[in-house]
Amino acid sequence: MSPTGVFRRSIAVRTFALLAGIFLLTYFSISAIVLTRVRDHLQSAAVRSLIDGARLRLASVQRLFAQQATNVRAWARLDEMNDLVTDDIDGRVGHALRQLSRDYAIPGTLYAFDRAGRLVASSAAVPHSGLHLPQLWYPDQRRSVRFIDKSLDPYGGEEVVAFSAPVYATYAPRMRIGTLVLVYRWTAVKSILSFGNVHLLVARSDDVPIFSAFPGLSSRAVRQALDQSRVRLGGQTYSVSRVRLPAGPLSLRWKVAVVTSGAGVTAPIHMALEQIALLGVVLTVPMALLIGMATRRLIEPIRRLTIAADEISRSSDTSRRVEVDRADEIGALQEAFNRMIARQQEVLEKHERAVLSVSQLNESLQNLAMTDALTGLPNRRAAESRLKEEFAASRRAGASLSIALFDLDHFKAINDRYGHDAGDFVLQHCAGTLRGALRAGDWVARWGGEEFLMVFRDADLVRAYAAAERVCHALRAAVFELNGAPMTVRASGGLSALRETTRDLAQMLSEADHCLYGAKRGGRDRVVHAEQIAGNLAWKTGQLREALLDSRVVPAYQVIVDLASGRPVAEEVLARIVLPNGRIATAGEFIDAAEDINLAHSVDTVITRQAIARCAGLADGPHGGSRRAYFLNLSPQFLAQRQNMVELLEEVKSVFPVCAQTGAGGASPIVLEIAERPAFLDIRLLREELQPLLDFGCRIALDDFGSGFSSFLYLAELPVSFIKIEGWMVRSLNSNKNMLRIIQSIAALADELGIITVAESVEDAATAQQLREIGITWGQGYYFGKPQCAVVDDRKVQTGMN
Amino acid sequence: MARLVLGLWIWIALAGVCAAESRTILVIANPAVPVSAISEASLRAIYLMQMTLWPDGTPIVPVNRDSESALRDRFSRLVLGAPPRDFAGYWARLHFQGENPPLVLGSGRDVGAFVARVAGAIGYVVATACPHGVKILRHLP
Repeated sequence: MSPTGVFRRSIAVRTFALLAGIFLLTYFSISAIVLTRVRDHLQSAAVRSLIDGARLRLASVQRLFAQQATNVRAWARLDEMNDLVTDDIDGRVGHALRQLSRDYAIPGTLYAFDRAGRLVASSAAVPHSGLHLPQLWYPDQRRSVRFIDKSLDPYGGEEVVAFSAPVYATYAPRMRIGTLVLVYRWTAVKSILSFGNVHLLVARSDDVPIFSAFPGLSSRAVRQALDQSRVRLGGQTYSVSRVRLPAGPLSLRWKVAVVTSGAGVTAPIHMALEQIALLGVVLTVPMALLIGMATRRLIEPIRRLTIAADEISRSSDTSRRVEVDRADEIGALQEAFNRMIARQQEVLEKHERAVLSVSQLNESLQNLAMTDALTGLPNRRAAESRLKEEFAASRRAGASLSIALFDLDHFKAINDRYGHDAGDFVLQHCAGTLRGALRAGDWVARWGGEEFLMVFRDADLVRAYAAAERVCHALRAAVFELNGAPMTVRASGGLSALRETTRDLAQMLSEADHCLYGAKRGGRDRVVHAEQIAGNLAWKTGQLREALLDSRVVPAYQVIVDLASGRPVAEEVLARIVLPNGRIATAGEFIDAAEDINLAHSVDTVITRQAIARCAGLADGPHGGSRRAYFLNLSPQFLAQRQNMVELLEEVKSVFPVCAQTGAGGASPIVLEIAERPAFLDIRLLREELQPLLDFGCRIALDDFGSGFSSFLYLAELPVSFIKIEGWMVRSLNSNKNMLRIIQSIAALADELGIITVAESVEDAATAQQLREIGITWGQGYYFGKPQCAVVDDRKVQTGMN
Repeated sequence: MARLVLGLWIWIALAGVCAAESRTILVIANPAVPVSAISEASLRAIYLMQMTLWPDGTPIVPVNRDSESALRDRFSRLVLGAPPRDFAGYWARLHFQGENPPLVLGSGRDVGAFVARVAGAIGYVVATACPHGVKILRHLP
């Protein structure tokens, strides 16, 4: 783990580090302050002592100089000095100078000059003649002694200082008779300045350095050092302190400074440092122990609390408590923790009780949840689980099992027409009927909205089919009242039996669903099983072609009657297939399949051709008086191909001369029935393609008006001559008052547009009467006549619902 | 030769004058002093520092020989009437009044040189060592 990780994870480490940090910070800052103070103090003391030493030296020098000045002044007044007037004829002056020099042990020479500046006498053995008083030594105009600072002796070339005093005659105090000069060797002064270990720098008042305790220092360096506070010398830095000259009788205007290296104070500072370090070590050990102990005391209860919390959460034993052993904040935390656990315990107990009661409640709810509230039958969930069990059991036992899915026919229409309450009522009624039709051991469940699942136990396909048929029959037979009117409900069923090849329940259900779909497509109100579907499909794909090739696709004709006169006026041409076994299949059975496999237009072509031939035949034949129109059903596939239209026109034209004479109103007897289909046809294009036929006299009938998607669009875009009103609208004429009005308005609209209305599915005289009263022009249906096959002309064929 | 004879004569004449007065004391003064002779009383006043100015107001600078010299002693007895040691009290008294005794020079040669050079100076020498460039104010027997 990284150091930061340790810091982040442990309060103890953080606290320890913090306290230790504070201690170390305090220790080091105090040490630094003490050391700095000690050093500064020592240094300033050292500097001060040096300056004091320097001042002592300077005072000595000044005293010396003052002494010399006093002496020179006194000596200039000696009586002997009067002899300067007489060129010291007696040598008294010279004698006196030598005497003085000897007595005062002067490290230098005394010179006496006469008034004119000629050297008269001296204490040294120098040749007198020709020497003159140097300008450097000229005395002051005043009477005092003049001090001549360090310079070269004009006579000897030595470094000297000099004191020059004028000599006045004793007998005439204002008369100057000469000059007395004391020349003092610098070495004597230097020895005083150099005394002791004081690093002195001295410069004349005109800044010319005259003394340096550092032999290596150039005069330039000395001059610079005197003006600065620091000087570097040989890689070392020295501090420079100016020294004020002590006041003295002689006004020396020297610049003086002492130079200190600071080296002198190193040793005491080292000593102080050692002691402070020792103190630090001595302090650190107990401090570390103390801080560690304090930290542990702080952290330990938290750690114990953590362990306790951990154990409680691991064991889920909420009856445990931690020991409260302190009165401080930690103690409060322990108490709060205990309270929290107690609360937790209460909540848990409550929760357990609640869970117990909920599970009891659940059991009673289970039954409710498995039942459909409306019908009282098991719901889909219940059915699925029960079916799963039975499926597995049957499979294990090798027993038979069949299921049927029933869907009520046109239930949506009931719901829409009578409302949901009526729908619910119908569902309840059907549920009761279905339950009543069960064999012992079978059961039924509500599978979906109007879907029911029936399970036939120990029943193979044959038995199950019979049972299912019975169920259908029972539904048909169960008449009930809705809004005061008697009513029945039909249902379509899909049947599926457990076979050896059945993979699973899902496959069985999907097969039943598929069959149900087949039953719906097959015209509803029937039960279809998988084998039927398989057979149908085979027939439809293979034998449809065969039927076409064998010319077994034949037209059937249903008469259309003028409602007013009751006379037949037209026939609708319907497609039929004569099966090899002699049964006749209706268009409803195969037309969808034909569309599926793209044969619808072939069927249309065959039928159309035969119908036109019949039209021609009838005109030519013994019943030539027939002036009927022929309504030909044209599928969208047929209409989609321009070529079909062209061929149709050719066909019509080939018989036209005949047909034209027979058509009503001079028009062609051929009426093209166009069903309202999903609007995949471009109506304008369709019209363009139909135009040659229309031009020839063919007319258009709109089939199934009212059931489709764009009735009025067709009406607007095509020159429609006939409207055929949907069969279910006609059939519900009695039961629905609105329907009456709708049909009335269609009739009025058609009348307005000059269109002939044709009502389909007219099944009784009352309806025919009613339609006539409404104003419907023509009618067709069982009441007037059923479709009749041309081939089996005298055999009446039951076609079922159209 | 004639010049030599003349010089000889002059020398003899002078020597005769000086030699005639070998025991005599000559009172000499700087040639610039405004007197040509001086009385013994005036001399006495000058050497006791009672007369300090010449008649024209210039200061008088009297010069003595050192007190051990015989000439000083003779001069003191002749002019002041007493040997020099008798004047110790006098000079001491005068000292406190700010007056110092006359300047002391070490030799007659020195006195001659001094008097010749210092304006207002007056001194005395033995007649045999008469210096040049001085004015003789009096002959003391």
